[in-house]
This record gives sequence, C-alpha cells and structure tokens, in this order.
Amino acid sequence: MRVSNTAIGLGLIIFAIAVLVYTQTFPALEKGYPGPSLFPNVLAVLFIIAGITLVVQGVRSGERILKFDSSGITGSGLINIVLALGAIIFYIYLSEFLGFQITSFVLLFGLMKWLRVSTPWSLVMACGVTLAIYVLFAKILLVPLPWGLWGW
Amino acid sequence: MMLEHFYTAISLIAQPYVFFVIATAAVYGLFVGAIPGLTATMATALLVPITFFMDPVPALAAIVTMTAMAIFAGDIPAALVRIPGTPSSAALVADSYALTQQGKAGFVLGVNVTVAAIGGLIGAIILILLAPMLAEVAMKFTCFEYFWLACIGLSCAVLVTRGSLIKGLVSLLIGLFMTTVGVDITLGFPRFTFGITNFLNGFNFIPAMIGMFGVSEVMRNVSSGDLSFNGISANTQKMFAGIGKVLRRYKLNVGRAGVVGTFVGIVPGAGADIAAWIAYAVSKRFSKEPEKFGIGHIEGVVDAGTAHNAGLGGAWVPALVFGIPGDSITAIVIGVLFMKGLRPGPMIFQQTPEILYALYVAFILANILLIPFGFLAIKAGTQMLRVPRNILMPAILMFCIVGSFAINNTTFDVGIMLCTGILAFFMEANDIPVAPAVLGLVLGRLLEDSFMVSMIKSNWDLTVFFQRPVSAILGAVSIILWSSPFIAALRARWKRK
Repeated sequence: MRVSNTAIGLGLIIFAIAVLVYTQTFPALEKGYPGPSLFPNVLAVLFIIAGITLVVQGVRSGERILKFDSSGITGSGLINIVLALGAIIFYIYLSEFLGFQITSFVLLFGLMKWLRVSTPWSLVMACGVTLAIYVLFAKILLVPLPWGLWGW
Repeated sequence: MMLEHFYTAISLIAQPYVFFVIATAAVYGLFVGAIPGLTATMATALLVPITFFMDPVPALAAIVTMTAMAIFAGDIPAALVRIPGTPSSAALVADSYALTQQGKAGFVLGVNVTVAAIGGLIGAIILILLAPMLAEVAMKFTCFEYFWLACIGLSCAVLVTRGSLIKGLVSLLIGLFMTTVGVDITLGFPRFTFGITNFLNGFNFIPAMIGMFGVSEVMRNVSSGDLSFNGISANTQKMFAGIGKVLRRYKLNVGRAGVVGTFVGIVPGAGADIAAWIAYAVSKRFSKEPEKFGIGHIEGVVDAGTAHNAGLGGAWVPALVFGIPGDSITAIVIGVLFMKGLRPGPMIFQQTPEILYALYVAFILANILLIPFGFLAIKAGTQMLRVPRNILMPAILMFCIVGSFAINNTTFDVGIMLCTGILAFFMEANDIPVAPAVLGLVLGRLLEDSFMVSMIKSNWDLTVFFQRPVSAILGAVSIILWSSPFIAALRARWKRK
C-alpha cells in the first residue's frame, strides 16, 4: 500500500488548495480580521510547504511518481482487508434493520469462515462473541443496541 | 495533608468493584500485550468505550493497570518467538530471544517482569513527587502560557518521530486539521460540516481513536499471512532463580533506566517504546561489555525492560499537570476526559485531589500486581500465542464497531471509525507515524481557542504572547524547537564543507 512521496506531496498540495478556496466562503470578524478561516488556512499553508518538501525529496531521489507498491500484501490479504471494511459498511447500513444480534452473528460467521475457521468453530465463536458483546454493552453498560428483526 | 489524601484514595480503590475492574483490566492487558500485532494503545482505545461509562477512579485504575500489564506482556513473545508483543519491546527482542535459545526463557522473562515492576514503581514515584511541584508553577499559567505549552508539546511530538521529520509534521497537520471540523469559537460558524449535523460538535474522538488504533491493526493483521505460532514451547521453570544476582549486579542500571525512562516518557510524543530504545542505547554506551549487546546479554534487557514501564508513569506528568499528553495512551485518556467536561491541569490538584491520589495508588498497586499476574502470564505465554488470529480479528472488529456505536448510539460514529481506520492504515504503510496526529487531535482545539481568544482580547496585538516572563520563555523555547531542524541541517552542511 505504499505510494511515492511525490504522490503524497501532490495530494497534500491539492487538498490544501481546496481548503484555501473553500475557506473563502467563511465569514470574517469585524474590521476584516480573520476569524473561522484563520486556523484552517494556516494549516493549509503548512500542508503546502510539507507537500512541496515531499515532492522535492521524491524527485531528487529519482522515484517514479506513480509508484504503487503493495509492500508484501498478497492478493488474498487485500481481499481480507476489503471484506473487513465491507463488514463495517454492512453493519452501518443493515444493523438498524436486522438488529445487532443477527448482524453481528452473520458478520462474525462470514468473516471467520472466510479466514478458514472450521464451520462448527465459526458457529460457536460467532454465537459466543455476539453474546459476550451483547451482555457487556446492552446489559451491563446499558447501550441501546438495535433490535431490528430480532425484536419481533 | 498528603497522607490524608492517600488514605482517602486507598479507601476509594479498596472496594470489591474496583478490585474486580483492576483484575479484569490486568488480564486483558496481559493478553493484548502478549499477542503480537495488538498494541497497548489499541488496548486503551478499545477499553475506552467501557471506561466511558464508569466513575473516574475505577476507569483510571483500569487504564493504568492495563497499560502496565500490556507493556510488560509485550516482552513475552519477544523472548518466545522473537516478535515484540508491542512496539515497546522491540529494543530488547534480539537479546531476550538469544537468551531463550540458550535455554534461559524462564530466566529472561523472570528478569523482565521484575524490572518492569521496579521501573513502573520508579516512574510512579517520580510522578508523585514531580507532578505537584510542577502543578504549583502551572497554577500561575494563563491562556498565553497554555498556547505555548501546546506548541511545545506538538513540536516535541514531531521532533521525536523516528524517520522523516516532514512525515511527522504531515501527521500532526492531519490531526490538527481534523479539529477544525465543527463550530468555531469566534463566530460559532460551522466549518467543514457540509450540512451534516453530527459534525457540528467536531470529530468524535473515541470512534476516531478506535479507528486509528483498532481497525487499522485489524486491517494490518488480516492483510499478512497466517501468523499462528503452533508448536512453540519454552522452558519457563525456575523463573525467579538467579534474579537476585542480576538485580544486585545491575542495580545501577535499573535505577538509571528507571529515571531515563520516566523522563523520556515526560516528553510529549515520546512513550514507552522510545524510552526503551534510549535506555538500551545508554546501557550499551556505559556498559563494561558493550560487545555482548544484541547477542544475548541480560544487561540491555534489564535497562530496556525497566525503562518501558517507567515511561508510562512519566507520560502522566505533563498530562496531569498541563493537560498535554506524554504519549498516545495519555492522549486518548485526555481526549476522553475533555469529552466528559474534565480538563486535566493544575486545578485538579486542588479540586479533585482524591482522584489524583487514587491514580497514584493505582499506579503503585498495578506495578506490585505485575509480579503475580506477570508470573501467570509467562506460564500461559505459549498458550496465549496459540490463540488463532483468524478468530480473534473478526471478534476485535465487531468490538470496535460496537464500541464506536456505544458512545453516541449512532452508526455515523461507526463511519468515522471506518474512515479514520483506513486513514491510519494508509499513513502507517507510508511511514507516516500516527502518534503526532493523535496529539494534534487532542490539542488542536486548545491551540486554536487559546490563540483566537487571546487575539480578540488584545485586539490582534501579537506581542501579548511575549509580555509575561514565563510566556516569553516558553515562546522562546517553541521558536528554538521550530528552528532546531533547520539549524541541524545547516550545521551538517557546514561540517561537510
């Protein structure tokens, strides 16, 4: 997941310019003193300085601008990451509808199965972890975890 | 007066519920510390959603105990499989594994747990003695001094970065920028909220920490190949045989590493890991047998093992006195205290001394408990390493999700966790350290608010920051820190000529 210093530097510069443009819409204090925009603008200028330094360093070391180096992450490793992140997105969008218990069980079972845990173990651990988290957060800490379908 | 506070603190701690919390936190800390790839900072981030709902005394006791245990437990896989359990054990990994190969696993881990406890106690004693003295000075501080202190803290966090200074700066700027989201102090103008009401109060700190330390670690762990440690065994019999001899021989090392570790811990941004590296380097520099370092010499293990636990106490000094975190762990704690409306600083020494003294007692207790708990953890070391990662990681991920959700009961925070997790993973993969960003995230608001308030009060007269003597000195220190990389670069160029 490594990219070149030049690319990071360019990214920072573009981001900072976007900030500088956007903060033009912020109101100023009376007598024209800078208000809400001052701190973001100072940071944006520092981002640009850091970005230029990274670009200069990158160009001097002769690296390719569009270097993309997976730094040892294999194809299956990449899929694992995507699935872990997908699990979070799944939770965000479906936990309200499915309820915590069902969502958590489905996600844990699915991820464990994918990571090559045997089916009986995946079932047991998915149930166990779901129950443990439920008891800790919903029963002891009184967090209103969503009930969803389970509540019917 | 002091004794009275100690009695009150002991009565606050000596309750079955608090003991239960401490014991649970200890087991949790030992487990997380002993598993390579799970760090003490991550353990803190995951503990926060639970401690958030507790009273301050058990919550702080849990965090103090957990971190002391986790930092020591990192030494266990260092000795057994040559992988540091947390970054703080990296300094001693070569020597302790070499000793294990000589059949001395029990001995080296026995030394580890003993010196860690002693180091932790030295750190605690320095914290107890130094913090009230500094607090008296800090009582006279106004927003000008706090502005400079925040500057010094943030500058140190960048300067202690190992590797590229510019990437440390980028990390800090990312953290600071995140604090600009939300309503600003001067006009109450909503900045960078893009119409999302959840952003009005700014970036939610706890989900961001869980993302940066929890989710990113899960991503790193599942991205690498299978890391199970089946088939390891180590002889951990007679753990404490010969410890007395080592302690007598290296008593000066233990004292020195304790002091060095604590003072490195005090520097904002430098935590237990840097403390261990510096103590190891100092040990080698003054050793009578420096040639033996790195190939299985106990002396370096003694120094680094003492220092990493001492550094934990040191990190609390600036955190308690000035509200400036000494490391990522105290940064998380301070961020949470801010959320609860408690502002760490000299006032807590007068307003809530019982909580402060309870923290001191917790520190001492945690390091005493380290010996029996550590002993059991060493015995269980090989079993803990066999816990299958492919079951652990989904469980941690689910815990991260629910922990982020729990603070405000909204899945929006889970989204924050997801984004900060991806950000931290990308940063670490590109050698951009995460610690400065965390300090920036904690101190950004303080920095901006104190600056803007001072400026409006003084009608935009910048010289007010140098008018008070202490403020002027702190300002000068900040400017020296900012110019130090340039001076160093110029000197290097001049020397070459």
